[in-house]
Amino acid sequence: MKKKKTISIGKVFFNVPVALILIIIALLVLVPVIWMTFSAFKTEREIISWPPTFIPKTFTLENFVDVQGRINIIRYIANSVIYAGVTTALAVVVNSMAGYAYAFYEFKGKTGTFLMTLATMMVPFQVIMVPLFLVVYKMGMYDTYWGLIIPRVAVAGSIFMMRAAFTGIPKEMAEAARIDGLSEFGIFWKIMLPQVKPAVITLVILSVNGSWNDLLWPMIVTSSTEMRTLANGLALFIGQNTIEYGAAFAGALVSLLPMFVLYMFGQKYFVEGMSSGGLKG
Amino acid sequence: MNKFKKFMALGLAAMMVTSLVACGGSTGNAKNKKSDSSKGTTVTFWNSFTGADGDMLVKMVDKFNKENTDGIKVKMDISSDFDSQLSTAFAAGEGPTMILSSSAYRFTYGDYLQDVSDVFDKTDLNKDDFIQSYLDYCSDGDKTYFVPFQVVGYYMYWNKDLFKKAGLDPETPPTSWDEWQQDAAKISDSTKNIYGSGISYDYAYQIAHIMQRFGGLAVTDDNGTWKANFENNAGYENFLNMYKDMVDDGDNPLEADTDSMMSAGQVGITVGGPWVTAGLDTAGVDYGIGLIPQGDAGDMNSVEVIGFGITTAASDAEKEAAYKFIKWWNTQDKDGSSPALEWSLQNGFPAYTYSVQNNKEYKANKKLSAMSAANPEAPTDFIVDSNFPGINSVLSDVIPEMINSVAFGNSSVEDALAKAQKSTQKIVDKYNK
Amino acid sequence: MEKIRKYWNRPSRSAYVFIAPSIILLILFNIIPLIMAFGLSFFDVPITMNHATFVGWDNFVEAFHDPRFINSLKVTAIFTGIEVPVQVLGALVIAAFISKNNKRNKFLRAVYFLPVICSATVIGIMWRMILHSNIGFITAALQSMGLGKINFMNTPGLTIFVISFISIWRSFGISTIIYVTAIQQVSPSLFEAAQMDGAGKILQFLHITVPSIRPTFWYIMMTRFAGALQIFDIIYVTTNGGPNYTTESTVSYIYSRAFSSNSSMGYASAMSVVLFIIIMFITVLMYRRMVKED
Repeated sequence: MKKKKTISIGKVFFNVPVALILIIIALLVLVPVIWMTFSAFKTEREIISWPPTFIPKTFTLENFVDVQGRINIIRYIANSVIYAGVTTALAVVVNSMAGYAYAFYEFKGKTGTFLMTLATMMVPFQVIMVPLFLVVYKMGMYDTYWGLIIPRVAVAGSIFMMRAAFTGIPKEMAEAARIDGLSEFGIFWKIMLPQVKPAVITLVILSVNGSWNDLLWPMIVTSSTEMRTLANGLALFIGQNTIEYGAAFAGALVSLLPMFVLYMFGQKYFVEGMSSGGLKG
Repeated sequence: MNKFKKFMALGLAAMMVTSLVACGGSTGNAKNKKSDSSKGTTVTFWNSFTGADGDMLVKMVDKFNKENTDGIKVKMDISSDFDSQLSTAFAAGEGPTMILSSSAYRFTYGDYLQDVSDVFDKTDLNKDDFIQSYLDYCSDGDKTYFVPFQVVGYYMYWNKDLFKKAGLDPETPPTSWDEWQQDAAKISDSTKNIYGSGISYDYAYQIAHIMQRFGGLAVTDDNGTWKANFENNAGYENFLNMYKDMVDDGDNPLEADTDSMMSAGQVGITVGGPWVTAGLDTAGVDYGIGLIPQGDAGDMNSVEVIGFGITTAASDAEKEAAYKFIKWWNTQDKDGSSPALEWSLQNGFPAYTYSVQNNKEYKANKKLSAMSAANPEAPTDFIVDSNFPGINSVLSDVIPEMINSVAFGNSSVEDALAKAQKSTQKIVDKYNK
Repeated sequence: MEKIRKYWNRPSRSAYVFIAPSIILLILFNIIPLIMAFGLSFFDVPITMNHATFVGWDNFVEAFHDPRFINSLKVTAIFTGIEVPVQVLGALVIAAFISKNNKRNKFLRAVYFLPVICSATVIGIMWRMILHSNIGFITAALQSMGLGKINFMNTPGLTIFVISFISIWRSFGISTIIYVTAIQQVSPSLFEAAQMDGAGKILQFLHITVPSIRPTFWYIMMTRFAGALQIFDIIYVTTNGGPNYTTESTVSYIYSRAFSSNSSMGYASAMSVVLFIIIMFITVLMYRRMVKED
């Protein structure tokens, strides 16, 4: 499909500044992240020192040993995986169903319910936190995985995102499938959802990421350390009066790694999703 | 077809209601199961000791769980957002058996805390061993809300190397605020990014501890009514002027986080809690500890008391089990050591009992002896009269607003004090009713 | 059973089946708590909620006479004014540059996404450290380059821009990736046709990419607006409102009123009602335009 490359002066004028901008942004992102990565291998004394260093003078693993020794990291990771995994699985189904309905159907109450959905995005979580806790408590889900997960499944932003993704698909596709005798759910599940695979993968990554780094909700809705997530565990290195920088950065790296692997996998599927999506013409 | 719709709606509603009732009921029942003895009881224990001292607390609790012969299990949960966790739980009528918090929490969560004055009857803890002024902090009227756990005072720390470099004697720290200011000017070296004085504009506790040495308490008991003391307070005025001068002269940084500068060896003298020493030790700074220099307001030993509280969610058996933990915390073994002593030695918090204070190891500890040099007769009130319930508003609103407006030049010292007076008056009026 | 299935399979009805799970969950876990919270705005309630006194509109009257609340609205507006254009337009342009699937772009996407997956707490500590006025790595680097000593975190007027930058730094990766997803869904035949007509890249972007991704554009626009007007966590972990309240956003102030030990839940709720009305108003305006365009 690609045309033969021709180098024109116009192209150079366009491409060089663009590349420059992209590289500058990449550096802005990378320098602090690399600083943090290096700091995880520094001694506490070196992290807070004058003059500040970028590359560690002495490499040490003591921060990682400290993290490993202080918290039950296996248990916390297991909880994080359960919390993020189940929430995301349910979120994909529930939110993309709703997004699909708002994109493809005309029905009474569409505007009303959609605006109601959007309204839930407009209140800071800190404000509804206590009443939400009361609802979860009254339903008997306090200190359970369900109490942790169920309230986090339906997310207005995700519904909205899926609606945007589905809106891009021509409606004729649904009509054709209907004539073939597929049920409405069948159309959604077998025909439409695969069309928006990249959006689904984005939803998965965002949802997993949201639960993975969620600090406040697991803290409130569970009451025992056995139920806590990795994010909660790592928060222990940030004391009220003192911060253990090395341990905090080491913990952050440990918690970042699974997310990064997931992202790389996601990106792989993302590309595959594209090539199949490209057929639709 | 319409029938079906109705049926669906009804079914859904019924389902939701039953699930609500059933679950609500079952949790309710679980709570009522009270056993007669504390044997085999689980004590849930919440606190906000994130950080290294929390790690030590974890180890101590493990030790108790192993050592106690009653089968009591203390399940501790360290929270990084203690207030949110506690308030939501209380709102639902839940909560842990025992908490560890500032004694000022009695003004906020008092309704959810049980009277613990019987801890001295039910266990063989000796009330006379506890220093009375700290116990006073933990009670309000007849009710005792907390058993002291640690006493948090603020102290002066100085960097001996910087003193030497400035040609000052590293063993004679400032003893007055004039000296502080003079020493700070000598130590400051703008070419090396070094500041003589490290007072943060964003650290209300630090400001409060210093400020009250200049001008006394911000709220006092004036024959039964609360009285705000900001306006026309010459001491506070002097303090603010001194702070402003030092910032303008480049002797004090305009910075929120002065603690890490102290650890990095960039600050000459500062004021902070005992945890400052941990940072300085790790950083390998050669430092000294002393009492905060006295000001015009006279001798003071201002502290905040952190204590064990038992919540109303605890059953009698749970309360009794929690008492056993508190007793264990303060019990000496045959070598004269106790968890309370270990805690003091490790984290540098001064003792709240005479028995720990008189312990040999405690006395031999350099940090602790410097901290314990405070006059035992001096008043222990911190920034406001220790019985004034509005302390948190003063600390989280009034003082920050005042120091910020002075630090960033938005208002003159007089205006800042007048404004502080006005907002404190509002708080005072609320409790004078 | 078959009958039921058939009944709900009609397109006009199955829409309700599709939205039912989310609507039920949203009502239970968002709308009901929201109504409860808003109800509190007419009461004087402490943090523990064990007693409440009805005070009518008092909390609202107090809010509009509270300089800190008014200031927080101003801070929030400045912040939204900086963040939204960058997130909505900047991310779109960047996404257009890296939407093709080649090695370079995949690498750049992974890099841009890195901050998204970091926890806010650690991001806060990290930036506080590297921008520290005295021992910060970036401050020191700039100083050694002869750019002078910049007090990033403690200068009223400057710090709000620093916070905006950190917030954009943290989440512009999401906007970019979502735009990339949308751009890749645009049928390649459209671009090919345009190319045959001799349209340059910029024209292609304006006439094909932008119109084709309208739904995504509105999604980003509306969620970013709602998000920026509720900025909290980045402020909480960096300046916590300072210096001199120049970075105290509305939600930061609400949070400190709701959960500090001198808490007043009712007052915090009243302020969130005001914020809610502002966000709702803007969203409904945007929603109308969006529906018109569809």
